[in-house]
Amino acid sequence: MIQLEGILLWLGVGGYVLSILAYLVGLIFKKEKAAVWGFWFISFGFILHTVSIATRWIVTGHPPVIAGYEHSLFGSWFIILLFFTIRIWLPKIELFGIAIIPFALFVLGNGIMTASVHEPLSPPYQSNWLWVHITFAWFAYGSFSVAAAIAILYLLRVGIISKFLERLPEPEILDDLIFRFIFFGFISLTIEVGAGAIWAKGLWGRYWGWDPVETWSLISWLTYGINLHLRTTLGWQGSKAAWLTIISFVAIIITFFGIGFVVGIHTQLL
Amino acid sequence: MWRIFISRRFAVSLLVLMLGLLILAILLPNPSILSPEEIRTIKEQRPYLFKITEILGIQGLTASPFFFVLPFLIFISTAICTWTRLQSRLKSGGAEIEGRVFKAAKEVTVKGEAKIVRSRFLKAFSSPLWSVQENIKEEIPILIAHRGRFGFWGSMLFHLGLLTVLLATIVTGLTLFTGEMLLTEGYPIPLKEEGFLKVWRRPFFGMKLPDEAITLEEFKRVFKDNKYPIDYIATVRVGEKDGFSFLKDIRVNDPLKYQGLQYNIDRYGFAPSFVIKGKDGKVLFDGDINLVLVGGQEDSFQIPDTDIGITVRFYPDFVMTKDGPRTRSDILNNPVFSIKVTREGIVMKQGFLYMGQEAEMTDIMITYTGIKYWVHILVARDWGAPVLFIGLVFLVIGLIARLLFYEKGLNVVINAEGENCIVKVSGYTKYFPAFFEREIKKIIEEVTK
Repeated sequence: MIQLEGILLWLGVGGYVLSILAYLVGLIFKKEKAAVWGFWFISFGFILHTVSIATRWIVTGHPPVIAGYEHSLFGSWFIILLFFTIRIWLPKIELFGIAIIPFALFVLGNGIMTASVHEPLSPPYQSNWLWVHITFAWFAYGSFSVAAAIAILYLLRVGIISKFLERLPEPEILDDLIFRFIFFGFISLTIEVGAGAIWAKGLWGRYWGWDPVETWSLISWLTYGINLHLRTTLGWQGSKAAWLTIISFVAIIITFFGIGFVVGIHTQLL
Repeated sequence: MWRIFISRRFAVSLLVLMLGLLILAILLPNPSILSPEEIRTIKEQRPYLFKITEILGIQGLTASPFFFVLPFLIFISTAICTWTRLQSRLKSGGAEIEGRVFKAAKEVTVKGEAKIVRSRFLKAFSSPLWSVQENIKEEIPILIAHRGRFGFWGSMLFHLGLLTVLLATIVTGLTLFTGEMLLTEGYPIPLKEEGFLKVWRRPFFGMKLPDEAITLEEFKRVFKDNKYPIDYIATVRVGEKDGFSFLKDIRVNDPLKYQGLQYNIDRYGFAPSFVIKGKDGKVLFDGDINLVLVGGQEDSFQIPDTDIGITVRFYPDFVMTKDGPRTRSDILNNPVFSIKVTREGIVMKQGFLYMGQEAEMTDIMITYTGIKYWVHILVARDWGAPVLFIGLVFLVIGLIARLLFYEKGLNVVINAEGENCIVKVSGYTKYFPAFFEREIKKIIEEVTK
């Protein structure tokens, strides 16, 4: 990590942490102003995070789409971007930050612990389909993490600490939002898997090879396909659907880290 | 039986079963990504796990007939369900919304004449997505607005996409050819089956391979900052028996496509040229050795008609460290070989050999005369791929149409009461009931402004 990129990123992380604290103060002590500060902190963090990504992009000559560090840098950025997207629909839901920012920090923290070498794109990654594949992957997994975060809020909202969370939208709105994010994530995941299949066809001559990451993508696709099926045709909603959303998300995370007890990658020697 | 197949619970059960099997399979060790040593360790230390892996691991599972039955049942269930829904839709002419809908209703008093209130509502429905009809019953205007007629067709397209994708897997299963070739610079290799290292899969109905040869003319690697590989170019000549041939540069994402087959570079390695002479000066070996171990840098071979074995380790950018010989990079800055000569498995002599150097090793003379490359090529033909891509396009368009154009409708009954109107707004939506209630509220707010 070059120095500027690192400084910007850590300042951004600082902004995110401060926003969580501000939102917590706003929630527990019912201070409107703290929530406003929370929003400014997260905006500050997001701007620095964006500039940090841009710095890296300029140095490496490609978007941050390879290796664990770059994935987490870009992935956490997408999650925060989705937070701002929700604000377009529901402007007064800053407190969502309490659920969403920790998810983004978890993703970012996981990547920061890995090497952040500045490398040019190796030949297998020099495909236009890579951009489609990776961008939609982050839209998909970003949406699923946001859906899981909202599902946690939903359960808290209808559960024992509902009094503290009255400032959040009504549970029915949260339920609709979970559904929207899963739907959007599922479309993105379908595009991601499709772009990956086209890329694989160009790279190895076959579109599917049951390699660990491909199998995991199919597991994710089936998981959220079943989620949608249960919601649309069998009428799952409310707490039952919220639990399903959380379990689905946790399941795909565990499955990813548990792949054959060894995390495999697509590419071979080249 | 029919009822079972059209049951949505059955469809979900099939998907859950498939998901469960895949989760179990992915958590088990996957021999395709493990080294032979790791596989042997599992086999010896945890034989029960190895047995389970053979049956339920991803390789075993996807090759088992059961795994073909499951998608087949999903295909049948989806096809029947789609057909049933289509039939009932065509019968009703789209008048009924299938499945569950959410309902909402609100009653408000609006200031103004019925005529003005009516025109305000019509304005609220002015988006081209709304289709509005008006009925007047006993002089009471009733506005019926609905949108989302594409939603159903989106769902149909999604199902069609799913069926197409499943069909593609069948087409792939019947037509897939996969194999691998190893090309060394300068050596023509037949494109026929005898030129393959291994043919992994043959199409069900057989296929004819080109009756020509392929020659790796040159392999080039491009590095950035003398460190990072950014391009691999294999220039191949494909020639026919009658003498016609053409050249093609194969790159990692730019394969050779010839007579329905695709040739991709998969990996590469070094192929040093050696001349080995006996004590009497007789040439025992004069050729290139493909080093296929340790990332294409190491291998062992036996000199023909002798009991002499040679193990070669290549260092493209040789440096001697306190931990022994190493290579600084993959670039040919200082190519050096370490050579180990064995006789009946016993090491007789070992040492280093530089480019052009001749060394006496026991009773043989070894000369390292040059370096070439070998390239491992994956060969494939799959007629299912275009079918799959069409299916994926259907899936995506279908899903987007379902999300954007889901069915919802509003009935507005305007009752004039003096200077005011009592307006009853009732409606239905296929999805997102809470957002729908907000939408009704917003429309009412606009009208009562």
